[in-house]
Amino acid sequence: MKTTIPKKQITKVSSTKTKNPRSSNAIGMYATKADVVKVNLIKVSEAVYNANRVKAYKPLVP
Amino acid sequence: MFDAPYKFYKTGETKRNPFTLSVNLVKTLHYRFDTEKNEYHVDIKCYEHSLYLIEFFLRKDLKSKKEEKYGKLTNERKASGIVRTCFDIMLELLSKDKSASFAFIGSPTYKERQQTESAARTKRFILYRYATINLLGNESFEVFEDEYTSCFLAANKLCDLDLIKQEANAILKSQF
Repeated sequence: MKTTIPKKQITKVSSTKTKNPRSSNAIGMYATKADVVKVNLIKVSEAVYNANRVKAYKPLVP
Repeated sequence: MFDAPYKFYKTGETKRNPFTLSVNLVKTLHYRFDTEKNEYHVDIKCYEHSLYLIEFFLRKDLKSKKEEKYGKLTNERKASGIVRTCFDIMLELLSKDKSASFAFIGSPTYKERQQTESAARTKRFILYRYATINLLGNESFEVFEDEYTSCFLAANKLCDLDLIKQEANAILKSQF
């Protein structure tokens, strides 16, 4: 059975302006840069640590 | 290399704005110091679980866009002194909060409003990593990195490292 909604019952609640895709923090239409960037911290490898460590420096933290 | 810090001053702190989206931010501490040519501001964002995010920039870029604020090169050739000053501020925080962990992002360089290096393994990231490894060491801190986004974390071993890492991942992501 087909139901029809009378026109008067349909009301516009609000409208949202789409984000300007050219703006620096908008990628595409809705996603921001933070939605795309993924930060995945991993432990610094021993090789990287040793390559950066200079024995002449004494760490300031005991 | 990192043996000439500048004298720094605490200029105040800002409590968390209840309307901000950043729910875990507790407060922001403000410091400043002067080099021979420039005046710098250091903002330290304090998050829950004693996680501190370090940011520094020229005073004149206080209201500049993020890219210019953090990606500018002054050609003053005082990077080691500036970085050491930031570490001295971190050590002051550590003396007050023994379980403090520190995070930062090595911003890519911008020249004349153009990004001149990739966001991965920026030269700032390489310098901050070098400074952290040599000035903080691995006795009290465990160091984590994400080379693709140039993010770095010195997690305090007194804390739950997995929790701090997860918190830092979310906070650092929100900075982009």
